[in-house]
Amino acid sequence: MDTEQLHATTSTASMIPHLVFKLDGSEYAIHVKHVREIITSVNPSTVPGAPDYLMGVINLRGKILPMVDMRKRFDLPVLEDDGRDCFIVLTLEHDNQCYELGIRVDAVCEVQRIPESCIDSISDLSNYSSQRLSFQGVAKTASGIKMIVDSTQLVEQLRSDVRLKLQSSAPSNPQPSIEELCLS
Amino acid sequence: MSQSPIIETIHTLAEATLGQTVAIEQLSELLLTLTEELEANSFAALAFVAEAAAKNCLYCPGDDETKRTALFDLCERLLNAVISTEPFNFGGIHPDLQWMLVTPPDQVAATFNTEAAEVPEAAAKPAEVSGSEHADSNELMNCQCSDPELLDEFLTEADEHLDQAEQLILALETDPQDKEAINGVFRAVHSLKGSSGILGLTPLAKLSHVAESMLVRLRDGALALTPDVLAAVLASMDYLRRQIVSIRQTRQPSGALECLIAPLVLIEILETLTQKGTCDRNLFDHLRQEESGESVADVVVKTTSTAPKQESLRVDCKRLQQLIDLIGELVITESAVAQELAKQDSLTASSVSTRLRKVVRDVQQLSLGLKMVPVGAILQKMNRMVRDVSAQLGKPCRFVIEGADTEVDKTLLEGLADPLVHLIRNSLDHGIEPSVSDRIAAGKPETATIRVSAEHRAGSIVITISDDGRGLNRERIYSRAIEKGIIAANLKLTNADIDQLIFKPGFSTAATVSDISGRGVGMDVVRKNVENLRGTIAVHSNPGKGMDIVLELPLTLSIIDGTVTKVGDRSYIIPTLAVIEQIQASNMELITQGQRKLVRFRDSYIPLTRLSELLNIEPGHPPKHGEVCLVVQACQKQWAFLVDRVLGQQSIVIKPLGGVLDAFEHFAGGALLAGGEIGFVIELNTLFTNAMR
Repeated sequence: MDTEQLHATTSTASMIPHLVFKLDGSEYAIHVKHVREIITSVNPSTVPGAPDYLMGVINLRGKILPMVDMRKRFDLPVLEDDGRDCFIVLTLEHDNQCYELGIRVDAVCEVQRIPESCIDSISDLSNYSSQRLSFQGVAKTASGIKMIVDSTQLVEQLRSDVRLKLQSSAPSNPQPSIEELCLS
Repeated sequence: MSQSPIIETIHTLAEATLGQTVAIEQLSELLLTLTEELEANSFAALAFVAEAAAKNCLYCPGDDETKRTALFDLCERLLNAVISTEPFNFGGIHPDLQWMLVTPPDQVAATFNTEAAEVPEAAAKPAEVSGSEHADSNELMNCQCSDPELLDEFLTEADEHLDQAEQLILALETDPQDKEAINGVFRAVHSLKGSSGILGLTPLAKLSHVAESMLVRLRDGALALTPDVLAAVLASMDYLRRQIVSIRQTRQPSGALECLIAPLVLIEILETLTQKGTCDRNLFDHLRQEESGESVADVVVKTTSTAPKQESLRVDCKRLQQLIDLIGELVITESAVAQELAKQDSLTASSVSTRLRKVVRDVQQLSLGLKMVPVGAILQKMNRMVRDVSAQLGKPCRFVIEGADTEVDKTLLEGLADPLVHLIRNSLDHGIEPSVSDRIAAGKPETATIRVSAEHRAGSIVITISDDGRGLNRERIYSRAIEKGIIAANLKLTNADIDQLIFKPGFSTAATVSDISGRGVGMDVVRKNVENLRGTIAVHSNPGKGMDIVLELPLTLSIIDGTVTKVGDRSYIIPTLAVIEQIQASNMELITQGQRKLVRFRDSYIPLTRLSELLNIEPGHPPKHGEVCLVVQACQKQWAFLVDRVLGQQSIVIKPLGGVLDAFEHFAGGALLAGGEIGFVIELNTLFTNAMR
């Protein structure tokens, strides 16, 4: 194998395909293995007692998916619904369980193969409170800087936010319990 | 492999057989010793022969004289085999010897029983001389091919194991380093060894045993996977397959001498390979002579064609679930079609709609039944556990199963295994009195009873575990809870409250942690497991008399009849089976008690609340003519709550909300309603358990 071929193979080996999407003017990237599909129109049914960035749940071919508004999630200003939103359906395996959800983004750009060398992991960047933002790194490519979304963290954050919201809104019951009032 | 001691032993044995003074029993003992020596020196095949003769010579029909001659014959042949390293020569052996070597255990038993009557002296002696050996034979006699169900199960499993092993061996031909494959073959052979041993199919068990030893060496890398080794393993598989075919036809192990030769040669080959890594080519030739000339292909055809008509079929669980999901969609679509047809207002439309509904309902019922298995399957396993643990604890106890035929979803059953085991162990360890004398003092029978009963009740399956032990020791529980800081020191609690304390994490009144229970992790984990299956657990203790633990679980996990209600903009579905009554606002009789309102229901008053309150959401939009009150049954109590409107009843397919939303425990799932809306199915038990806390 001559050096050129060698170079070519090693380059493809460390090029990681990401789906690039746009949110409030900035570009973000997410590993393609977590992207199941892209859908355009949804009509979510709201979920009582869920965090407000959770738009609701939808039915996708017989399966129920929670839909997250990423603008709200990242505390970005919310736009009017002009019917041009896209939703990326994410899927990931974590702790022996399969999680699926849809995220609402402004636009989906392209699939880009990002060389590993261009990716800095988040621990190098101390400026970002990366936990809250669910990022795992930053890609510096020719077309600009893209934040790489950590799907696992996203899901974990979501689950804990849901749990916290439910717990905090549980009624503190100063009144006698229902049981005690049952007359026979 | 030293031979001289063995040769000496054989000589000694041979002399003993010639003399008139040595009893058959003693000869048997000597043979057993020889067996051990042969085993220790890797003469596995010969050891097998010697052992068979040792065990059976006592029961061989005929007089002592002929038996001695037979045993002398045996000695000669053993000697030949040891010196020449040829396989054991079966040609022209003494007929009694043949009897000793090939008679299956149950026939031995039959002979023994008749012999015992005629020869009381001989019967007495075995008990003294070789008491343990006697017991061994009894073991063999007890577990045998006479049980057709056991045999069938063995045959089916054996086929599967052999299929699996074969695949893996072929894989090993291309990749001899595949550790997983070697492991897989080992496991298959290991299982075969175990089950054939239990059924008394000694040649198969022995062959599997030797094969297993070789596989262990292969697995550990102590033996290289040469073509010879592969050939030996494949030959063993072939032999086992042929045996399975023959047993399937004749329903018992073959009693012919020929059937013994092949395995012995195989054992010889395997043993040599295990020890030396190579083996004499001649041995393989011996094997070829024994093969009936059938190719493996023929055997495979025979296996499949002689297999009894399958009464059951293994189906991939995922596929089954897909089918059930699709049928769920079918049910929903049928509802929509029915609505449309109703609009047409014609007789034909109406009758077609009814027919469609009936067919779809039947399909639905059937599909749900596909995953249902009788509860008895899991309860039978508990039988063994109760026997072992009660023996270990010295507490005689009998185990009664009622309603073993009650059917339950398979997934549910799997989730029930752990909780059931724990609850039964608790009964044995804590519930039942520590000693028989305690029970007698309490006026109870010596043997305790643990009863598990299962029944269907209003869309749920109810499993009750009851024991006739001491019940919960409330003083101990109370003081222990204070000790552990679970409750404040002088809190007054009712008996029911004290009983509930056992569900607190980390709770146990046991003085020491035993491996059975008492680690205090128990009851709260049990409850969690039961609640994960969307069930409830209740404890009813009767101090001194016993205790009942009642588990209530939903029958079907995915399709229910639902009452669709509306609160505000959202739809909530209540399982119709749990709805006892629906009361319109105009018909409600309310009384006020302080700040609470109670609604009259039959002869009592039930506190009234709103679904929005229970769910902790904003109150809905009550229509002008008032809200609707639903009275439901949950947690073995009745509850009443208000919703804005009741839209109707329909079949609901419960779909999981997904892992992201798993904190919503009070929702059993979501359901697709007309118009694409997703309604939430209320999990009543969790909703009200949370409300009570």
